[in-house]
Amino acid sequence: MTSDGDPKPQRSVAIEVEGVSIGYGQAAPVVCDVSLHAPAGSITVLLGPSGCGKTTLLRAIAGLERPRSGTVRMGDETVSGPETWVPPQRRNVGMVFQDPALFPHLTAAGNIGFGLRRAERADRDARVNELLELVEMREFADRLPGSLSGGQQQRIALARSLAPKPAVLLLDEPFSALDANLRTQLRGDVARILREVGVTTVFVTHDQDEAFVMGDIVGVMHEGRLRQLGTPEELYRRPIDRWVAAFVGEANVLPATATDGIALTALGRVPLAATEANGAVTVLIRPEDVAVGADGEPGVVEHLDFYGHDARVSIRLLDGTVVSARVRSQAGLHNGAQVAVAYCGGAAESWVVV
Amino acid sequence: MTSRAEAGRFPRQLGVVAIAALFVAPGLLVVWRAATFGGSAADTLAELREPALRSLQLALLVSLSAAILGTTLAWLTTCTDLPGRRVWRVLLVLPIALPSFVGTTAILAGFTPGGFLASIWEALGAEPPRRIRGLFPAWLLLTLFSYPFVLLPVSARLRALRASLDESAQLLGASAIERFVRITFPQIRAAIVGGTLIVALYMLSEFGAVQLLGFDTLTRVIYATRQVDRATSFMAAAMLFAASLAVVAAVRAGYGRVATDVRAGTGPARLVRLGWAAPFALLVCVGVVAVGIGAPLSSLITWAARGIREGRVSLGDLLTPIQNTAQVAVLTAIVTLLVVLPVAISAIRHRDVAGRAASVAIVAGFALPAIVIALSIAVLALNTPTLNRLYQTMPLLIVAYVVHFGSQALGSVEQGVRAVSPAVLDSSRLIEPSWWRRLLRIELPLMRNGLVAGGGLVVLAVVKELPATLLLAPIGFRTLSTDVWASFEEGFLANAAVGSLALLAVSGTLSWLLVFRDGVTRDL
Repeated sequence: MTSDGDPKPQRSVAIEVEGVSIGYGQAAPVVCDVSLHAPAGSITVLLGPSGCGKTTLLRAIAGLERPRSGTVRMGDETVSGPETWVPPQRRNVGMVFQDPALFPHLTAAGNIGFGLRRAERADRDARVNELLELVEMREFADRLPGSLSGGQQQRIALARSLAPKPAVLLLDEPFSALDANLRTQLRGDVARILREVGVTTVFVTHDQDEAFVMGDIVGVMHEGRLRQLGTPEELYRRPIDRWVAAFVGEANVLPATATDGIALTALGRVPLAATEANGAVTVLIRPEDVAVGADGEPGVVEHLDFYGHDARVSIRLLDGTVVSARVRSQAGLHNGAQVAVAYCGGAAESWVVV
Repeated sequence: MTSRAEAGRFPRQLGVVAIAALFVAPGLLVVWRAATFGGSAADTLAELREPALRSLQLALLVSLSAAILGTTLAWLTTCTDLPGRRVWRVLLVLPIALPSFVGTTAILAGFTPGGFLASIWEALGAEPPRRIRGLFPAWLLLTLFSYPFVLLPVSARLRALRASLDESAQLLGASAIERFVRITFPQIRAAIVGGTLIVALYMLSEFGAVQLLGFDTLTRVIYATRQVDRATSFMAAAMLFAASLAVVAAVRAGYGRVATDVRAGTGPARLVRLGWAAPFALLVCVGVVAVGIGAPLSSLITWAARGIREGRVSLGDLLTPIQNTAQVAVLTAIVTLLVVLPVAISAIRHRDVAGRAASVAIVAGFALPAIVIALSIAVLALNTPTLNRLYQTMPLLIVAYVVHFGSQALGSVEQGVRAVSPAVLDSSRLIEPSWWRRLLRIELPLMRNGLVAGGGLVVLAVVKELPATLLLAPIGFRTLSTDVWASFEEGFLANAAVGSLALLAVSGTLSWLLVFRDGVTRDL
């Protein structure tokens, strides 16, 4: 372990999870047959509601849980499989927990140096300073965790997990205990640090914003299964089902009849991505693809939420369907106002009704 | 409003100072008598050298072994997959209900001819030990009777540790042993030290067991010389006092600067798999329970059963000691609460110096061995013209108990006082102008849990107390503990056994309710 002033990991490896199921006793598995590939140096986010198994999967990658079946590979090495088991302390994995889990009796520097104990003293000090610099906590080196704020503690926890130059870094909802402003700021800083270091990262969160901002790839988990794996754009634009569509953003899901890739909905004609579609379908329309103006289907404003940068309007159409729209300006809009709405997006995602 | 509050302050502080004086008086008397020692100090010191060394030897050895045993058992029952650990969790704390003189009585009675333990030895074809005396049996038995004082706080601490600390260390490459040394141990150190401090203080003040086992410590010297050579008694008392203070000071220094994480945790991570070590761990638990609880209880039960069967003891004989014990214990609890509550209110609600000083004085009362307090209070009463009639009366006995056990109630009473928040006090003042109705209808109901727990701990302590009761109880006033003591000394083993079992029933019930119910039943 040498200090060459380079914060990069010794080697960044891909993570390969194959058919992993995790469960205890006779109960239904918490994680069910999950496979995913996290390329070397990428940030993969596991997104899902609480209890979906995302944290359990992360802990299995770390080696803190032992899967019932399936394999986990890091680079060329199988760390968990039917016949292999590498204990967590030998996996070269760093992890940041939801609570910072700093060792309360050690200073910030002592915490960061914990994983470097076999290094030469001079090397260790240099590495600790380098990491304090990286997380912008230089002046807090000698403070005990109890005297640091929640955000500062998470910075130290991140530095501690990066200190031994792990091949893989795992983050388990590290910002969930922080207040909203701090969370946004820390999120940006951590994303920058992770890119700089280039370590393969798996990040668990229940916050869709966080997932989209942080992730190169996002896996949406629900009830122990990986529902969809893709880039944030893919997930938002091409969710594979209604559940994913609604979980990753606000969605109008409208019933429609399709004819050769054109759906007739309550909002009028909507071109579908599935250009061959015919028959009964459901169509996904994001609120920002609904234009409120002079042309289109008539409706009545039922509800208005003003956010400053934009506003969200709920509009009841003549057939009783309620659609949400995002508008830049709320001029002329108030509860009970008569408006017209139209679809203004591109080819929309749709699912055949079965 | 302000003027009334100001006016009330002086008498209240005066009262609190008077209470503090009561608690420091025995200690001051000991220091003063030792300082003004008349006779040949060198001779007396030479005489006391051996007993003093024995006192220190016992305190040191038992503290050390109780710390190791208590910590090991706490770890085994909370952090490992020890088979039947939930049962062990209950069984291993039971000795806390067993006063050491009762346990020692039971063991000695068990080895007398016809005793249960002697018959086991004979059945195994071995000669039962004839003389159980000296350091080794004292060390062994007292360790087995006192380790729960370490086990309980350490278990609580281990349960409160967050799993993520251990897991973080593991992911940073630390092995199981490294994690225990570098992470777990620093977090439980304060609990170990705190529990060991209590064991050390108990060992310095230990009287019954060492007397029974003929191990000549300072408490035995005080007991033997209290009537005939009071100067020597006080010199021995001063030595014990000094040793207790030294232990407290050493512990204070030993705590050092350890930042512990007091947030409640989600419980320890995955249980450590004992694997091949499991049978050995089980053997340790079986041995500890067999010798510390099984042997005394079976010995007591066989003697009691035999006595009742042969008509040599009647349970009716127990009625008077039980009544006396209950009476003196409940009175002591009430007086203790009346004395401690103003101090707690003064220290917590008004944060005044008098209150905080009195709190320290009350806690210091625990560091003074019971026999020393009893000696001082007896001498103070005898040498004060109007108070000498109080010698060997119930009021004086209760005063001695209060001074020694005030600290037992203080913690719970403080909790009770904290339960009445300043906001509640303020708003109650707006609703109810009469202060005594506020006290009855608002403050006391809110403090109730703390007061009941504090009073209960005092009752428990009084029931188990022996030396102060022996010295100060009115002539002919038999409590359960003095009854057991006298019966055994006179060789009435069946009577001693029946009395011991009654005492254990009371102390066991109270211990369960007050000391370890929460710790044991959680996640049972």
